[in-house]
Formats: sequence, structure tokens, C-alpha cells
Amino acid sequence: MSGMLLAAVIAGLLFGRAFLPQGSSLDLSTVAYGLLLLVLGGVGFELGQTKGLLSRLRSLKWQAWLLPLLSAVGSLVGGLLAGLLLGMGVLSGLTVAAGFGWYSLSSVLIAEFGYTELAAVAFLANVIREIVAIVAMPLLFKWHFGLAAVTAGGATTMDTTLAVIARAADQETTVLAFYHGLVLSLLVPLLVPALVSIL
Amino acid sequence: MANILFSLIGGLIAGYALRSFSLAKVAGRVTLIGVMLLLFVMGMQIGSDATLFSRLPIIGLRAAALAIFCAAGSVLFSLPLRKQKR
Repeated sequence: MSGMLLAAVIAGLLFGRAFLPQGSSLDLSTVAYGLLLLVLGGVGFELGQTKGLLSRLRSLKWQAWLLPLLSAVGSLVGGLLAGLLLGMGVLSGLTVAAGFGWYSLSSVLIAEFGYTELAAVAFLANVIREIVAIVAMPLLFKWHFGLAAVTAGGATTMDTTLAVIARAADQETTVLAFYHGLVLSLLVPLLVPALVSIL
Repeated sequence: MANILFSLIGGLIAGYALRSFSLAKVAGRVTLIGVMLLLFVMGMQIGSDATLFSRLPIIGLRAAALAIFCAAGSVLFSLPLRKQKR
């Protein structure tokens, strides 16, 4: 899965470098936005088809509801530190962190404000986060990180990395992972534009 | 912004309305193809921008560092909840 993701990115990079004239990226952003809407529609559709979704969420222990909150704060603190250490600014670090692994949405939102390079950083950072999560999660579960292992995946734990979690952990953890990803996903379109607008 | 929510919620309602047809697998396949195309197009966007492409080593390095810091931050902050389930 992560290999396919990476291959698609690299193929696009090389194809764009070799065959596309400069300045054609404006048309591409419309294409990307259209594809994003299609993907989101598909994600929504799958959620709508999931049976017993509400009852599964209702059965969670109250402490578990805090998981996305701690996870979001942790990501933002990580992004803040990385932004400082890399010398790219605290706010830029926070903005990229607020993508929580949802590369398509976060980079489109940042690009809309005209920050092309930061959008590229956000795109790659969030793709890499998903790949890191796919690789690290099975190990973290083995090392008894329990629910904390889930949070490595950020917003992707409701779809792309959910399959990895379902294979490596029990059903309760999988349900929680879904809820965790859902909350973080909802935060992305709220946090990213808010942070970019004060850049 | 509004389109994004509309698309997600529209999909959700359509999926729920058609739940007796179990089309989740088909939707999953469409989503996967969409994601691959999207990654390809986003890669092309960077590739067709000479400035961005020439800065790819630094962009990639920053991206990798951010990815690891964010994932590690989430995991560390969530450690107190590692044994809470139901």
C-alpha cells in the first residue's frame, strides 16, 4: 500500500518534470481539487455503508473519547518543534502538523492561500506520515503501546491505515482508531485554513 | 471549503440511503483509484514547477522531519491512555 502511494507520487514528479511546461500547474490544481471531491465522496459513501457505526461509537469508555484530543495536541507540539528546529517558523510547522496525515486536503487548503512551497512540504510530510504509520504501527502494538500506537496514523486511522490496525490489534482498538481518525479528519478543514490565514 | 463538506456529507448520505445494496467495496475501489490519481497529479504539480522541483531535497527533508515529529508527538501525548478501552 505505502509502496503504491510512493510510486504514484514519484511517477507524477518525474512525469511533470519531463513532459509539462512550466506554469501549467494552475490547471492541475483544478484537476486535483476535482479528484479530491471524488475521493471525499467515496470516503463518505463507505462511512454511510458501515453497519452499526453509531452503536459502536456509543459503546466507548469515556477516557477513550480523549484520545483524538491528546493526539491532536501531540501532533501540533511535534510540528511546532520541527518548525523551530528546521528554521521554517513555528506557524509553518503547526500548519503542516494540522494536516494530521491527510495529504490531499491539507496541501490543497494551503495552496489556496498561495503558499506553493509550504503546500508541497505539507503534501510530502503527510504522505510520509501515512507511510511511517503503516510501518511503525505493527511494531508499536507489539511493544505494548496500545491505544497510543493508533495515534501515529493521525486522520488516516479512519480509512487507509484502519486496515493495518484491524490486522495488528483487537476490535475495540479498531473501533477507537476509526473514531480517532474521524475527529482528526474533521479538525483538518477547521485548523489548516485558520493557521494559514495568520501565516 | 463548502464543496469539501458537501462532497463528504453527500457521500455519507448516499452511502446510508443505499446501505441495502452494500456498495462499500465498489466505493472503496473508486476511492483508491481517485487517491492514486490525486497523488500522481500532485506529484506532477511539483514536477512542473521548476523552483519547487529544484528545492525538492530540502522540501523532502523538512517533510520527513515534520512527519516523524508529528507522529511521535501524537504517540507520546497519548501514552496516558494506552490501556483505556471499554
